[in-house]
Amino acid sequence: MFLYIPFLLAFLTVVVIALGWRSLSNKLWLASVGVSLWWFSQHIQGNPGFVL
Amino acid sequence: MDRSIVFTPRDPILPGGVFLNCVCLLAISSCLGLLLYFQWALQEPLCPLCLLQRTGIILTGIGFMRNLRFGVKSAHYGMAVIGALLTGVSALRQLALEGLPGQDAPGAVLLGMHFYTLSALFSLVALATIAGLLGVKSAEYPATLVLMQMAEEPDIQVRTPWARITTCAAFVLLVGAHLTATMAACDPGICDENLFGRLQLQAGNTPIP
Repeated sequence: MFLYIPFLLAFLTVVVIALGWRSLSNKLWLASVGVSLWWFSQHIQGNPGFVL
Repeated sequence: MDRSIVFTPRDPILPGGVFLNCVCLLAISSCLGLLLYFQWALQEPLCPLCLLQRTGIILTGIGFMRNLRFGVKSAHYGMAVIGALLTGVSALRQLALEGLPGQDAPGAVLLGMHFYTLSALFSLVALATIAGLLGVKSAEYPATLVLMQMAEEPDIQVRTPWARITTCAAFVLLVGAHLTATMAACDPGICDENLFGRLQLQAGNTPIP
């Protein structure tokens, strides 16, 4: 259920940008980036998949 | 007011920034549409890293959309760069997990390349394009001065920017379609409630692609 949260935040961001609310769209964009990075951090904790 | 002391516009004044941002947003919208086509029509299965790449593509588009809605600014290009970097990093991660020689590489192929390879290329192209657009921006007449001059001359009729509105509306619709598609396809295999525990269990072994 959590993997669509970045999409939900991104959708809210584009709607808020279309409405012209600059400050709120900044916050939503930051939240969307933060959640995406958090999800990505879950993946880089494991084996990198190759030998350096 | 004569602002020639403050700024002397180059000749000719380039009006290309908004147009080029429209083109970029349309290109990103077509990428999103293509991904939807592969998911819905060709039943391409989802995976967490694919979803992260899509989020990165959307975040790149958000930078361009802000340029169209709030005016062309370097900060908006910075947002697009962050989105492109997120796309590239997650694509390279998936490439390292699945696409190296000797590894099994599942998934659909377009133009002879898997989608994570295309996402990595998208990231590179987006970064190069944004670098070019920043160059165009620095050569253009500052948008702030244009707005100040328009405020001083209220008689000038401003046309409704239908091209910008249509481009942004298409992007908003596609992001909404991706949200719907992700929610609909959110099966236990990719985003169940136990995903946190599953990720931690697999942290020492092969992670989920």
